[in-house]
Amino acid sequence: MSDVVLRIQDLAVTFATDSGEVPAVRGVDLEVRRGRVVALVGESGSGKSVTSLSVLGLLPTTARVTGTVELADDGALRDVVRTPEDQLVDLRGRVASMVFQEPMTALNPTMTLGDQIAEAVLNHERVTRAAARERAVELLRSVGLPEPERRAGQYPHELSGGQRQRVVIAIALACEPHLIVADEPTTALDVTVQAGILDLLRELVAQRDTALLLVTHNMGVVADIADEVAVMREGRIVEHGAAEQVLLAPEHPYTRALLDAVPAVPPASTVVGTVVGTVVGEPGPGLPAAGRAPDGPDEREVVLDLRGVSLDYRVQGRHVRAVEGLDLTVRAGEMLGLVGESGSGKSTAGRACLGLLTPTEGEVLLLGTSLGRARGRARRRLLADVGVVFQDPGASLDPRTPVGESVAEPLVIHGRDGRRLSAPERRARVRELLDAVRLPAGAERRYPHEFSGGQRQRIGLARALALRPRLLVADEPTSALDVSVQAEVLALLRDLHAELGFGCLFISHDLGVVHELTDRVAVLRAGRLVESGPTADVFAAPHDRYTAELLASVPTPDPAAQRARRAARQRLTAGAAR
Amino acid sequence: MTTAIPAQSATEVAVVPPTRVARGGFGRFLIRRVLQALAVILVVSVIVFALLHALPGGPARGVLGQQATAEQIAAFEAANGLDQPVVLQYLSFLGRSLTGDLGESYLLNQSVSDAIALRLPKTLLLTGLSLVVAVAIAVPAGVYQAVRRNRAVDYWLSTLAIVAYSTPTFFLGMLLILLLSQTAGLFPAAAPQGSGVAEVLAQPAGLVLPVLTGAVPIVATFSRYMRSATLDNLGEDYVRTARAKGTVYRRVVLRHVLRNSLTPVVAMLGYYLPVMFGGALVVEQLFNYPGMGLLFWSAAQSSDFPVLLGCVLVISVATVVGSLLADLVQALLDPRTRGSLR
Amino acid sequence: MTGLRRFAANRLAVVGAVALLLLVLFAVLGPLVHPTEQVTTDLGAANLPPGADGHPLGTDALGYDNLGRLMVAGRVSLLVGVLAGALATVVGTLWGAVAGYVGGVVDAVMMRVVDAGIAIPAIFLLLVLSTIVRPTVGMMIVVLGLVSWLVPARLIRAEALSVRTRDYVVAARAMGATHSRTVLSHVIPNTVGTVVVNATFQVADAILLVAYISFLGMGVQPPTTDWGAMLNDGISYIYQGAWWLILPPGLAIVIVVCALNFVGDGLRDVVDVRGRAA
Repeated sequence: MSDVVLRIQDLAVTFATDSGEVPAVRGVDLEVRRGRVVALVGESGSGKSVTSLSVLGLLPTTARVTGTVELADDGALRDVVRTPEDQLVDLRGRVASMVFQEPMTALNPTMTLGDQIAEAVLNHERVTRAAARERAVELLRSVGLPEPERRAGQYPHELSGGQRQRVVIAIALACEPHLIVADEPTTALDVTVQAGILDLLRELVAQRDTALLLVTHNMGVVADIADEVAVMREGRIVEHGAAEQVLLAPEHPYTRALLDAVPAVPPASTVVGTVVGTVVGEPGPGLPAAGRAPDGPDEREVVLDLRGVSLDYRVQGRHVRAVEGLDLTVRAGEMLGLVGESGSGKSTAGRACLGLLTPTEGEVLLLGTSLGRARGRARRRLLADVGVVFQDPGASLDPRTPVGESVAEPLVIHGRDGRRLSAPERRARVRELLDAVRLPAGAERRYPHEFSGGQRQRIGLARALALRPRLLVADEPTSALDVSVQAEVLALLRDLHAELGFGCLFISHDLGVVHELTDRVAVLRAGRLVESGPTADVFAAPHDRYTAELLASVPTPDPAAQRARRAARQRLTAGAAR
Repeated sequence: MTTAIPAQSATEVAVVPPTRVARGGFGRFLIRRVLQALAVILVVSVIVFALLHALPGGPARGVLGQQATAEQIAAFEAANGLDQPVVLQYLSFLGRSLTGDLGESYLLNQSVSDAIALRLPKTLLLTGLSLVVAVAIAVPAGVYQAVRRNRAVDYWLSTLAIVAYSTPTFFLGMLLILLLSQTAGLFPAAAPQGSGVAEVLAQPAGLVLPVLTGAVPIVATFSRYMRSATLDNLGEDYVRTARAKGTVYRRVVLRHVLRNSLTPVVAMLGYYLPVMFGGALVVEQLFNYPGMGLLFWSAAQSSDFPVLLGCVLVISVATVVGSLLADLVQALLDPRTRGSLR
Repeated sequence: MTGLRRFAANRLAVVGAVALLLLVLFAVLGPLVHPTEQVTTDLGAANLPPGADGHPLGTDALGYDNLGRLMVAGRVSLLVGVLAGALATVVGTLWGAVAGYVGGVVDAVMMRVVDAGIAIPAIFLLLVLSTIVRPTVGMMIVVLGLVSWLVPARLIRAEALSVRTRDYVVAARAMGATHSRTVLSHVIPNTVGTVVVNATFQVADAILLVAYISFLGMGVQPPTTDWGAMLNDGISYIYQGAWWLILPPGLAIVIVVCALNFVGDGLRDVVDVRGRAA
């Protein structure tokens, strides 16, 4: 009883909107005990973030809260819902504190890091400013930032995303609270950085006997760190139990569906360059027949060929190299995964394939013809054989154009088989395409904002395939989607690929997705190709240490397997440090 | 605290966010911005030169006055190189302007630069005082509105700001004269006279109405800017972080939000300078305040072209320099640009 | 339809629209109801207070009926304001759209011209111009329009720059769409909202500017008049308490400019909502 740090009972939250009260959380009960890591998982709109914000009373003023949210404070339980704002201030940061999703914006850009941490101390303790500053330096050290004295005087923009998240964690730790609430703390970070932050959180919780309420959508993260899991859906907790039990033997059908939708993670290799020492992840599903290359030399036509492509972007007159000497080929009917972390140049390379950027060196060949040398009509005809799907389903469709017109746009621009299509022909083709991506009748007359993210992404796919392109460039097409929606879109993409046999350049940061979907993979780091080859081979036995670290950093939803992966990764990074 | 805490992965250090690199380089920013300002001043000089040639009878008539004969004009043109190609004429105009030679007023028995030098400080004083008063009102008002957004008080202050913005300065001045001077007799309706800034400052009562009249439109505009900048910042994630660590809301607003909201508003001040100088003209004319605006207005009444064009040139250069300074102050307020000074 | 409802939800915008309509009716149809002599002076009936002998708002120093004068002055103020605002919007939109879409050196040069134009305070430039050309109504429209296009140019350029980088425009270019197609079917439809909203504010500012010029005595010449000129004529009588010469034209300007600003805010709500829903 006495070790309960947070007890939520019958919590319900509704938001006042123009169209009336909208429920976000209904009847949630949850208890968090000292030293425990409780994960709250769910997809967008499940109410998990709202629940987490209610713990510190940080919900917006439009929220109406009923039920109780009690925090342990010196042995007594204090109900946050019934505590007025001027007393909540005393609880926040001292009894419980919070870590947020976006480290890039979570810190005040015009205040030094030291001052921001010291402020947390000064809010609750009667110490001198100098003492608070010293504490700040100590906290920076404890979250694993090198040179903490120098860091304390720096501003947020001088740090990377992962480093900033460490500073946010330092702020959360400042007054040694009993509970840290972390709302998607690693979602905005690259996998290798995510792994480091998760290690840090795990150590801190163990050391300080603090409880952690971790809100996440990522089952792998849950497996990596959580003791208990509560699964939320539409504002309710549908399943709650020990992590092993929920992840390995889920009882609720929704939990099962959610876990099934997670792409199978490739195995993690501890040894670079050989097959020895592979830690088993999960076997990937069989690839469709159209995908796998036959043994022997590949005879299929090369649809995309990058030869020594270098790309620069200009920053205030200075040229910065984004991609350096990149060689890639995509053959008809093949899916090539282009993977890398943020800043690796993978999207830049994708844009060059679409003719949106001109290489500084090297050339891009589409269907054997140089895109750079084609002009006017010839260039447009070449581009007619390329389709594109972007990451953000909200931004890639013109908000003022009905969906049918957007899908028809390539037909209007290029005609088909060298002739213009009549309006009825176009309508028929649009219908056919929307059927192919499983959108209901009448969709063509509606506007993008009337569709969900997954539907919009399918519309984007229909538009990309309107001219039966020979090459599809898909730039993180599912990164903005929930896993269950992602699974649908990927299944659709796989079916269409098998049916239409286009070559596909699939750009992604998600190794699980790439593992499930692609035949071959190319790994980019800081603009350079570090490794490429058949996906199965590269993922089973990476030749490059970076690829190995990347692979080992992807968390898998099986707690036992994840422990092994973590050990593998730590051995790798320790090797790198040596 | 001594237990080994996992350090960052090797890959993490390498990530430098490219967007911030773009902001970096204060030295570069400074050079680029100064060059831009010079380009703008050059274009301004071309416009003024073009106006000079658009005058009825051209610049010769402009200098010699309306009574000059055709022979006098021809002689003047030959003597001053006005029969030369336009480009050369422009260059010599530019050269003269750079050395401060803006010609002679027909009416004042004074060189244009002397006439301006005598009055510009007084205009800057009036505008500066209005600005200080306005900012002292607009900043707290905007922040207060943002904090109380969509409440009755915000609604009424916003409406009041639009009404104030929509009131022509001279009409506002007349109302103030009617109310505060005519009816209540609190302040004189005539502005202080005198040749120097010190003399003007010695008559503070007379300054009240002109300064107030000049300040109202600035308050109307800048309280809206301030409100929206504060609202933007209140929605930022760092505000939530600050609240989550137990910072009192008042301190969140004053210590975190205010500073970040002021930065874009400072840059807006630079853009707003031309409007302020335009306002000063009206205020000076209305209250008969002996500044550059009144000089300009009288020159317009009597077609004193050298004075008109000289004033336009000086006021425009002052505007360009002013907005340059505003941009530099903004850059210095932002550690993201300031940092790269080192 | 939802757009109209959005607009109606903003009460001030509706009040503004109604006020605007009433003022236009007042200026255009008012003289039919209250016909007055506005060309020939009548010094015998000068400076009459409101209510005197068929002059509900009194007369001015030249014996013109003040109410009737308010109507004909309103025609000039509104006409010059609307047409100058429209001219500024058209010129500014084209200039800004070209600069923003073409980019590079063209953009840099075009924007330095705009910067230079903005650096010269509009009132100063207008006063110089009014000493050079005779200020007729047509001339006022052209001159005001040519002085006021700079702000919309800057705004539309920023908008064009941002629309240009949106994914749907990039997608159109990747599809091989021509520049003209991209601009016509994606860039313009997505900036038109900003243009319309800004046009409203532009007209409001133009009406203010006309008033300033006329107040400074450099506007349209008698017997033509506008609200600003009425204020200029009335100011000499301020000390004799002739409030009826000052308040009506002054309030007319305040009301029409306020109304336009309210309507503009209402339109912005409509435009923003479409953008946000996407």
